[in-house]
Formats: sequence, structure tokens, C-alpha cells
Amino acid sequence: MTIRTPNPSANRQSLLDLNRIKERLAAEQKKISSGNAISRLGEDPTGSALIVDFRASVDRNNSYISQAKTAGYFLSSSETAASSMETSMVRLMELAQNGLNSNLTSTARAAAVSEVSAIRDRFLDLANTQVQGKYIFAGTNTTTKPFSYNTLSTTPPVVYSGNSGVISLDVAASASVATNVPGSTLCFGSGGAGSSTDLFQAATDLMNGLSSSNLTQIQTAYGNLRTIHDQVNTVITDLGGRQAGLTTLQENLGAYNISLKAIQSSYEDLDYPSTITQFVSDQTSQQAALSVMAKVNNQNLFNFLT
Amino acid sequence: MSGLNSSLNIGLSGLQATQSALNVVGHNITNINTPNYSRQVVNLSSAGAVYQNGQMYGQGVNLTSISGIRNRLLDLQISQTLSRQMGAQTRDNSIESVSTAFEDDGTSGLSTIVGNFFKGFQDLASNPENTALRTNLVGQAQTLVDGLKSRYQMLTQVRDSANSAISDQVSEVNTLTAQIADLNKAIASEAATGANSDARDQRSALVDKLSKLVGIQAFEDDDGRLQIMLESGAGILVAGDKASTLTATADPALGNYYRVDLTSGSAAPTDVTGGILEGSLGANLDLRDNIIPGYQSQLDQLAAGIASGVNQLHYNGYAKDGVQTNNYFFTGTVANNGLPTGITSANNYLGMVNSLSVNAAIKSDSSLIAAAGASGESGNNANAKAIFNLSSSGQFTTQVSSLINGIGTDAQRFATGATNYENLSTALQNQRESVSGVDLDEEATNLMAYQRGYQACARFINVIDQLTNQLINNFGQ
Repeated sequence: MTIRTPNPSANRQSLLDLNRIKERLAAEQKKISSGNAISRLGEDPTGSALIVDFRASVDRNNSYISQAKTAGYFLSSSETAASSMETSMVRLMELAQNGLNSNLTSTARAAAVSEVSAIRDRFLDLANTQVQGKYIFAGTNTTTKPFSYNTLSTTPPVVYSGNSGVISLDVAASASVATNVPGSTLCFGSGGAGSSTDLFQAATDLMNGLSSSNLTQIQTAYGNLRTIHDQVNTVITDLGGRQAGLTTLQENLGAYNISLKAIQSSYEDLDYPSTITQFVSDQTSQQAALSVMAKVNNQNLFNFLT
Repeated sequence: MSGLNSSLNIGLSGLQATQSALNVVGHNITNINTPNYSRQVVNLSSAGAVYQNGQMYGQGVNLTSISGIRNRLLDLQISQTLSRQMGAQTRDNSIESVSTAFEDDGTSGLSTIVGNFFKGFQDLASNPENTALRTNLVGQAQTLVDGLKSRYQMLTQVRDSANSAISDQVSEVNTLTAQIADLNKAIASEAATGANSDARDQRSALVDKLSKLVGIQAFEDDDGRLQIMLESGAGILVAGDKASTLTATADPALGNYYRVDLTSGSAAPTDVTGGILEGSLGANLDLRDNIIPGYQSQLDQLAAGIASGVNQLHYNGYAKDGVQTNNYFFTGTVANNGLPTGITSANNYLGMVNSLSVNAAIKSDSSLIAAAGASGESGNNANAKAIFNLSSSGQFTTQVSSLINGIGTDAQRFATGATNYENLSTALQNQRESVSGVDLDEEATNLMAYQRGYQACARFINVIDQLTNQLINNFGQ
């Protein structure tokens, strides 16, 4: 049995096949030039949706990393200020120890008062540290200068206008970190303003003790300063610990992003060798199809009739 | 025994038959590229014998008929396949045209602008006192609104285009059905079944064109007339030599989009808008009424989810000055839980994208953004964090990826369908060609055969003529 294959049907089929090859070549060309494995949504709907999901996850992690960096910046600034306080406190304690020397004259003790006063001013400046326009030791009242000398009374010597609010930032889907230490905690300690754990009170007491050569008062101030020094060191340690945690978190998120990007890449990025191979193969098919069409259409019985 | 005149007539019948056959060959060759042309063949038979002197003498040849070679079943299969192919192609083309707007390149895709909007709140949480971050958030919100609206508008334009095409295609359907009815009339009056092959070919070509516009069912009645009805059975397009009329009327109930009515004779018009399936007209109706509105609904729901969530949290937050302003971030009303009036879950938040806008007060004064969760605390970021956390579960990203997946799946489905139906219709058309198509080798062979037959008949007449001449002019000399 023979099947009739009139010329139009052969041409129709060849044209269809040729168009398909051209369609594939165009898609492959687009992929090769863009580097994307998916040239249109309909080519891989699931892959396209997954790419969106992966990209959103990566972006979310990046934004958490960014938050962690910001939190680290604030914590680092707080730690720097607290460390400066701690350094100055060591000097205060040295001055107190000198003041306790019974061989020292009253005049010599009084000479140290101006340095203690300068250090107390320095404490005040550090307690009013601003980062990006916000007072970092003001709790959540960040636009108000938190510490100022008490103009109404001698006790406490410095008053606090901030609050005990904690500012936290989300650094992961279910993790947040406090980015501040309320100034009252850092400078006043557990006893509060004017208490034995008040840094400014201790400095003021030392000043008064040195000024009046009151060794008992100097001794008390020295004792309080040691306690407060421990209290500031605890805060510094806490700030350092939080930063270390953030560093670990950023590393983990970064590593997670690398994994996510690798999976995203498997959907999104072109496999150049296989696509170029397919492109060359389709080019060969196209040339063969064109050649065959040209030859077949030249042949029929009329060519041989005279 | 018959005489020489009778012999001349026998030769004449041969000349006439072969000349007619040659005409048919010529007709076939000239129509080799005519769409839906069915090759014609001549049916020859020997002329009836005459009894003389105890013998039966044949009287030459008769051309009994010229018939077209066709397979009616294939014709019907092709028309159904073509309507599905065109339906899938039309849907694929339209979806393909919108899909690029939903591709996500990581810089301006829908998921990116949604993510950037919420990241604006996250950035603000790190420094709620910062005016630049507040201004940035307003900008990201406006980008989100513009991004949603531009995509929604583009989908509306696709619906509008489909609607415009519907009007034109309804006119085309009416023209085709009227022509088919006329040809039905001509075919019904043919002398013998199948005699008017060319009319059937023309009708077949028209039916193919019609089926590219609408999905149809067709069958031939006893008189050869083609009865055509909508594939859904919702109405009859051609009944014998009568064609029904489709009309497209702007209908307020459809948002002033066209309603398609079918009118048969003097009967009242029937609404067949939902009964036209497949073909480019059916596809355009499907795009306009089902597919594109589905995408728009998903955008509405996404916008409603964002606006509702953000507004409800924002309403209870505190502005930069620490005062609770009780305002919404996006335009909304207290009575409707932060959504604009009339936007409800009952109607799938229809119109939400069109109603979405950033609160004008916030646009002009970004300090009104309620980042704080407590009164009088400029550094409080609790509300900004809470709003950002609306997105941390990934629900909005999931909605976007679901929409993208839906569009992609539709594009893939219709592209695959178009390819499959194109393959099928090509195969069926090739099959029809193998039955009905003109083959030049075959026609050349017939041409030679009939040419030789004609030459032989002429030679036979020449011989009889010589005999007659011998008898008349030379007999007895």
C-alpha cells in the first residue's frame, strides 16, 4: 500500500517543522544572550515561582544581615562609650587611692579635685553620646539629651531625662537583639540616681572628699567606684556578648544565603554548554530542512515531460 | 452490424470523454494550492450496447460523473481541532503578552517592590527618628502602589482588547454563516449527491474559517446541507439555508463589555456569551470574563492583604512626635477595618488595587508615619517592626509567587495545547491532503493517459473517415 503525499501536505509539514526549529533557535538565542535558563514564565512556571521565593528569602536574610549590622553599630558605639567610662573610672580610682594616702597634704588633695571634675564632665559627655543623631543612652527618648547636671539640688548631682526603654531590632525571623543600654542602668546602677551605685554621685563624693580632705568620704567614694567599675564592666561584657552573637548570626545568614542562591541558580542560570550544543544542533536541523525542502519541491513528473 | 456513422459516433464519444477528463486534470492542477480543494476524478463507463444481427455492439464511452474525493469525517475532525488550536493560541498570545510584566528580575518585579516596601519599615525600625528613612518609606510605598496599578491596568487593557476583538469577530461569524447557508442552498439543489464538488470545497473552507472563530459541531443532512451549532449546544448557527445572527451589545451588567446574543429567524435573541467556547472568539470571551479577571482578583487580594494589615497596625501606632494620630498608612476607613469603602472579602476585594493609595497626609508629611508603639518615645520602633513582621512569614511573597505560577502555568498549558492541536490539525490536514489533495505526478500521469486516449480516438475517427472516403469516392472505380 502506498500513501499519497501530494506536494502541499509535504510542504505544510516541512514548514511546520521549520517554524518549530526557528522558534527553538529564537528561545535559545534569548537564553544565551541573557544567561537565564527561563526565557518566559510559561517555560517553567514552577521554576519561575521558586526563583521568586528563593530571591525573597535571600532578600529577607540580607535585610536581617543589614539590621544586624545596624544593631552592631549601635552596640559598638555603646561599648566604645562605656569602655571610655571604664578607663576614666580607673583614673578616678587611682586619684581616690592617692587621696587616701595619709601623708598627702590637704592642698595636694585639693589639687586633684579639678581632674576629678573634668573626669565627671567627661562621664557626662559620654553618657550623652549621639549616634546618627540619637542619644544612645536615653532609652527610647532618643531625641532628648538624657543626662544633665542637677540645677535644683545637690543630690543627685546628675539627673536623667531618658527612660528605661529598650530598643530592639529583629535580626532573624524569630530573633531580636537589644541595641541599647538605658543610661540609667549604665550610670546609676541598680540603686538609682544619687545611690551608692550612681557613677556621678561617686565622682561628686570623691570631689567633695578630696576638697575637704575627708578621708572617710574618699574611702566610701573609692569603695563605691569599685562597685560601679564592676557594674560598667558587666555592661561592657554584655555589649560585647551581644555583638559576638550578631557576628555569628550574620555568618549563619550569609552561609544560608549561599545555599539559597545555589539552589536559585540551579533554576535561574543557564547551562551554557548544553544550550549552545542544542543551538548548534538546531542550526544544523534548520539547514538540512531548508535543503530538503528546496530539493523536493524541484521534483515532479512534469519536469520530464516534453 | 452497425454502420460507419455509428463508428464515428463511438470515436466522438471517446474524444468528448477524454477532453472532459483533460479539463478535470487541468482543473485539478490549477487548484493545487486552493485551500480545502478536493481533487476531482472523472467516472467513465462504457455506453450501452445495441443489439444488431444477433450481437451486442458497444456504443463508445460515457462520462457518467465528475466527483470530488473527500472524507467528511476528516473535515469535521479538522474543524474541531482548528477551533481548539485557535482557542489555545489566542489565550497563549494574550497571556504571553502580560507574563513579561510578572517576570521577576530581582530589581523591579512584583515580589521585589512588595519586599522593598516592607524593608522600608524595617529600615525605619533601625532609626525611627530619621527623616530620610521616612521619606524613603513613602517612596517605596508609592512604588508599590504604582507597580500594582500598572500591572492591574495592563491586565485591564488586555481585557479591553479582547472585548474589542469580540465585536469584530461576531461580524466575521455572521458573514461566514451567511455564506455557508448560501452554499448549503446551492448544494441541496445539485443534480446528484456530490455533483457540486466545488461548492462543497468552498463550504469546507468557510467552515474551517468559522471553526477558527468559534467552537462548532457540524453534520450533513440528507440533502447535503451542513447544520452547524455552537459546540456547547447553546444555539444553532446554520440550519439548512438559514443562518442565525450573532450580535454584540454593550451590557452595563458586564461593565459595558459586549454581551453576545444569538437570533434565529424571528425568535427572541438568546444570550450565548457563556456558550461560545474555543475558537478565537471563545478564547477572547474566556480571557475577558475568566482568565484575566482571575489574575486581577489575585492582585486585589494581595493589595487588600497588605493595606489591611499595615493600616490596622499603623492606626494604633505613634508618629515621630510621639502622638497617636489614628491615621491609616493607605487610604481606608475605620468602618471597613482600614480598607476603602466598598472593598470587602465578599466580592474578593474587587477594586482594591484601583482604590489603593498612600494616605495623602503621610505623603506630604512623613513624620506622621507611626513607627512607635508607645506615646512620647521618639526612638520606639515597635510599630515599624510589627508592620515589617507582617511580611516576615512570607505570606505576600507566597501570594506573588502563586500569581506568577498561575500565569506561567496557564501560559504553559495554552502553549502546549496550541502546539498539540497544531500538530493534530497538521496531521489531519495532511491526512485530508493524502485523500483529497492534488498530486502533480498523478495528474501528469492522467494527463498523459487522457492525451494518448484522445490521440487514439482521433486516430480511430481518421481511420473511419478514410473508410468512408473509400466507400464514397473510390467504390466502383
